Amino acid sequence: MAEFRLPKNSRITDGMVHKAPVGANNVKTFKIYRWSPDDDAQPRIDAFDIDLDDCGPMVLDALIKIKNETDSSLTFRRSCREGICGSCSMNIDGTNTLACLKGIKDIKGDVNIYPLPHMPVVKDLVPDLSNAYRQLTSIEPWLKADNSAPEGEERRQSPVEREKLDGLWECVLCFSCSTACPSYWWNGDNYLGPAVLLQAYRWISDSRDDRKRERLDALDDSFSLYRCHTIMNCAKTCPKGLNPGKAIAGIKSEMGQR
Amino acid sequence: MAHPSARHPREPGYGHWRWQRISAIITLILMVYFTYLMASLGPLSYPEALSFVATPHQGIALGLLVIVGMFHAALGVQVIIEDYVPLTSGRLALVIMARGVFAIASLLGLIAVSHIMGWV
Repeated sequence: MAEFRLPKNSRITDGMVHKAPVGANNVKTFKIYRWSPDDDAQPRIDAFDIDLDDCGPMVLDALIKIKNETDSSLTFRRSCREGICGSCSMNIDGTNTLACLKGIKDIKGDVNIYPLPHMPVVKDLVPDLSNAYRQLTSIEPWLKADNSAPEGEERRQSPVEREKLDGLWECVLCFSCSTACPSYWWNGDNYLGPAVLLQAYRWISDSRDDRKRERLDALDDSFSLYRCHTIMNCAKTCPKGLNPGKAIAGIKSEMGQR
Repeated sequence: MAHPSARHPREPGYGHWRWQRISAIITLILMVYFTYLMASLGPLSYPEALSFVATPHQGIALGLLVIVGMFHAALGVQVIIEDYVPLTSGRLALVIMARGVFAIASLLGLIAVSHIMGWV
């Protein structure tokens, strides 16, 4: 039986409002999804007024300020603060992105922050990425060569061969793309999703790898790869400006040339 | 290679994807022909239209359109079912049922074309 509403304990309610300090002139409101597994409360949206004159320029700066100064229980992942680790991916202003790369000034009105969509929530802004990591493991994202590298030398690539990896190696595995993909929402248990498929193509395209055929065969079923219907939400949302849709098209092309 | 999706049967995906595109191109070409055919029938009376259509090359083209068009539709409906119907809610049964419906529709279409041609 189809369900058209969220279960009662998943419906979001209004939460606490934290006003800006007296004398703050440049105030912006951050509305943040809150949910804890430690009690039976429904998810809620807490509002935090932040004085932007006393805050860094990025959304992650505001989250850290809130955690440090207002509510230490606010939970989110973060590490590098410069778009390299992929930890702070979340849904900001309706788009999946990295909080450390999203400027507060780029957002008009209140800043709405939710965890990555359609993933189980561990707490607040922390999604459970276990399934995504399991899928990443399944494509065996490491070099598989028949012979070891020449003694004391690296495995050599021509500049042309190396260029094929551009647009692929930069992925930081934040899973913004996969969690923006409707096909991944409906069939995330079987469809590998754009992030993992981009990684798969990164190894399929690597001239040093000797298991291209094996990698392609592993993707040749009706779900792992072919649930992509070129909706292209992945490319639109990628905070690193990559194009997983193009990588998936590349895999399909390679599939035909086996 | 370990596969995370052991919960669904592993049907080859490339064949389905390739045939969907090949049948789309053929159907597109045949639909252009079919549109031209329909436009040509406009000013003709029913007996004149029947005799205009009832030629071997028209019959083969119409039969091909029925077969390839229905084949393409069956492949497309399979994608929709696989997208939205979970395995536990009868996905496989629905796919088989859809294939059956389109096979019957193809058969009926071919019988209709054969009648026009005067082959049966």
